[in-house]
Amino acid sequence: MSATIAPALIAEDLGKRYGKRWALASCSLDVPAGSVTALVGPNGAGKTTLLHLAAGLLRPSTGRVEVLGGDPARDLGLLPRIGLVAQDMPLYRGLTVRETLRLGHKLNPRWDGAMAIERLRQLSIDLDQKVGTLSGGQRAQIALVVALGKRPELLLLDEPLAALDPLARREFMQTLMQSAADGGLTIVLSSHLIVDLERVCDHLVLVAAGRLQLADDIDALLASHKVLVGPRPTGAIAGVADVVDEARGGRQASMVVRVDGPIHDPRWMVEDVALEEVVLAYLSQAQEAASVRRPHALDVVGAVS
Amino acid sequence: MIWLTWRQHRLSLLAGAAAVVALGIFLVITGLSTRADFTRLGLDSCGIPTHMKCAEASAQFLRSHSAHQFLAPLLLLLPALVGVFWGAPLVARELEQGTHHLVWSQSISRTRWLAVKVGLLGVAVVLSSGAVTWLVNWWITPIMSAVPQQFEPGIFDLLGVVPAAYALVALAIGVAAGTLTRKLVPAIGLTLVLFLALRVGMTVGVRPNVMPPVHATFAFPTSATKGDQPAVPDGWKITLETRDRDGRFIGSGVGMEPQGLMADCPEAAANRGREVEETDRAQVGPSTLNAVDECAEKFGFHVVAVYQPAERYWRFQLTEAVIYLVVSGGLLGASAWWIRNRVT
Repeated sequence: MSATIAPALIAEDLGKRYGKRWALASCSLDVPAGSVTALVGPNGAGKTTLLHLAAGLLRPSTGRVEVLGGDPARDLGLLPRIGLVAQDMPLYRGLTVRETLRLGHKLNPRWDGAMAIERLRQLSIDLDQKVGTLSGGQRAQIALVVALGKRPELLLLDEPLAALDPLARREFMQTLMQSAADGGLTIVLSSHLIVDLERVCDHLVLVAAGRLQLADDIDALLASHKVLVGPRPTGAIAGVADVVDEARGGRQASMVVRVDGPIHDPRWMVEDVALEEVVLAYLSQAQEAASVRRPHALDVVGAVS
Repeated sequence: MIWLTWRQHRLSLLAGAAAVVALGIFLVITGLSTRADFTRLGLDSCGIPTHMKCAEASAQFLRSHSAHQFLAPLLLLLPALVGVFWGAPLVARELEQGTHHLVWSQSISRTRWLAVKVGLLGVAVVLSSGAVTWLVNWWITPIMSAVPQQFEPGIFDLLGVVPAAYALVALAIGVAAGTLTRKLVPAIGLTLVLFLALRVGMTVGVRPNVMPPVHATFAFPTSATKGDQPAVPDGWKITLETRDRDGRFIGSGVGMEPQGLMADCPEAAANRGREVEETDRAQVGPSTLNAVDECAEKFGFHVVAVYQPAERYWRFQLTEAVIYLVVSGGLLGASAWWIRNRVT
């Protein structure tokens, strides 16, 4: 879907180190322009680091990150074009909603106040209430509306759903998808759960233990991964490029595999895979590799789209 | 950004303004009564305050108007309050509550964000400390003309340009401490410690060395000179001693200790059981004065002073202010660098 347009975000061998600890290491990926990308990984995997690097809040220790054709940590001209909804959705609690919108108006050259007020009206949020007195779901909506009011070309959201109840999640995602549908917006949102994002995202980036595990189009991922059920393999299986994860139950094995061709071997039953299974398979592989192979913990598995 | 800074800090700014107004009202009320007394005692027409005819009035005036001794330490602490209430929360509260991520993800650079915040509060600091200094100057002028002591430590720190410099450095220390600790309460503690350390260190370690003091000897004042002139010129008297012609210590200040000279000048010592101060001459009987004069002549009393002459006052004021401004600039520059490169 992004063959001709330049990616909104390019990372090349991107790494960030705090003291001796690598929060993110040798990460290379593209986020296609116009995509809705799920950035998934367990807590502490490096998701926030990656988003902060993309937003220009952090400078890389190694490699580089290019956002909308520039260096977000140096190119001040990029600031109006990148939106960030940071973790825990910080807002000034003492300000009213109207004052919060005024902050957006004062600090952004391309501020779309009419859209912001319209969105909040749809959500029946009282503009004269103090932000601190609103519910978590309402605050999340305000944080999102402030980020959208900026009219960014790339919108980064750090665990936006973590603190929300299911209804608030749905409403939040509705607001987000509404703006995505308006066009011209690339969205990257992180979560430690894929199920929240599966329906709305078309792209997946998976990180674990500071390493990139996977970065691909979701449809391509689902097409290139299968579940095989059958005996434990003793050698290579024709059509299987890689066994990602293997669950053993008695003599039968259930494997998530990456395929590079049709599998005709009658010993195995070939099933389609759910996205969550792929994610869990790669996370489990990452965990095993991290506990076996140190210090060079993991290789980058994901193909860059 | 100016609007946001005002919106964020308006409570503490208004509280600061209210404090300045309250202090102003107190200074005006007490200052008016001080001035009324000053005129009533005829001190406004005295000229040289140590002139014999004015000495009694001057002493009486000072006895009833020593409030500045209590007020001065409080005024010295005002800049620390600036550091604690305006400086420390400036960055620390944002980092603590995570709101820096909100404001840094708008279309404004972090450097500009800090510059506007510090700039606006810096202006408030200069205006408020300027107002306080102006009021204190007005309030303390009668006392200073009774006994000039603008250059003495404690009073020097309340007048001229240095109070604004202290307040600015307190603001800068607060900002830097908040940037470093990222939490409000530790930032406040660090601000207090650093500010007091800097102020004490500068006052004790640097101010005396701005210029070498003048060492000079003056004639011991006698009845014959009638106190027409002060014994030593105005300025910051670092040490002031009376010695005899053999260099023997007679007393600190301009005067004599009774014990040491009991044997030599019994009459002088006996009539007064305590030190004979120049300003107390009016209360001392003529016989004592004569006895002291005789004693002074007999032993060749003279006054040895180590002091900074009054004409160096502004040089000291400006030197100190510039040092504090440079320190402030350094701290703010380091904070800006730290925020740009080390804070996420």
